[in-house]
Amino acid sequence: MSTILIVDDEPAVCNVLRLALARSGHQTVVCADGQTALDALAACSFAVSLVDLNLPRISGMRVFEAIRAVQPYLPVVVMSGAITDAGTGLSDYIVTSAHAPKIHLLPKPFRPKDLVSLLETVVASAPETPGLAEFERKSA
Amino acid sequence: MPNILVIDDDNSTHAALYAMLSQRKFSIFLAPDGPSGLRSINSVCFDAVIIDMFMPGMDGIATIRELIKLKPALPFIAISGCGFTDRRQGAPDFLGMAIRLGAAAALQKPFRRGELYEAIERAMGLSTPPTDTLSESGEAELLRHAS
Repeated sequence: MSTILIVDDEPAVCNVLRLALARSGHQTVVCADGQTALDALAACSFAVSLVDLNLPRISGMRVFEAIRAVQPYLPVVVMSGAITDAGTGLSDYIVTSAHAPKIHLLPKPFRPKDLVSLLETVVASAPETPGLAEFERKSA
Repeated sequence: MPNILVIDDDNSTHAALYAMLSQRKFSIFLAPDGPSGLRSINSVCFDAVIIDMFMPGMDGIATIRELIKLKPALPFIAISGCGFTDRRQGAPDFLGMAIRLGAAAALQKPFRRGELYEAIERAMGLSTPPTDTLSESGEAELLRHAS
């Protein structure tokens, strides 16, 4: 079981994501905007974050950047119907980003099973956070 | 596991549909109104949609119209507390309209479990909407006669 951060401003979509992940045994924390997501990141530990690209006020891209700043090793799945749109700049960013291996795209619309499958793959393949293992060893 | 979206503002209907469909290994997702349901459909692939005809704001017929524009091949089932009515009875026949707009089935509440399963199976077998859809003018005509 993993704890997954969902950042999407559409309650009905969040409900679908939450239900799909809960049925697969995962816990979720749902945030409707970027600032709330950053507050949640400061308070909790997540296995992966699922971020909609089109968010009000703070865009998904800025949320992504903020996540990178506070938790550089947290895998991020970016979902958007506009991913194929060159105007988003996301494709270029991913190609050039030093964090590219930890960014995953989920084009909308997606099947719930594909969402669950991608998240589980991302969590399973996520590298261990540097320093965490040592911290846990010392704490034991 | 097939994914079914239920668009209905009534919590008791949500609960009943969830209980009935979960037993048949359907994966059920709920939306409380038409706009929310349509936004969900933009984000998630569903295999069928169940739409209540009477909802505040965007009603079932308006939701169906938008659904058809958005996903013309996505099968849908109409449900309503009012049954098929004769225009002489003075109430619009919303379930009849839904069928004419391409609904795979239209069920009057309360419906039996078997009727729901049969409707969903019929819907899942559909890949394209029926061509016998009701035109804007035909629907207006129907509403005029019903009122």
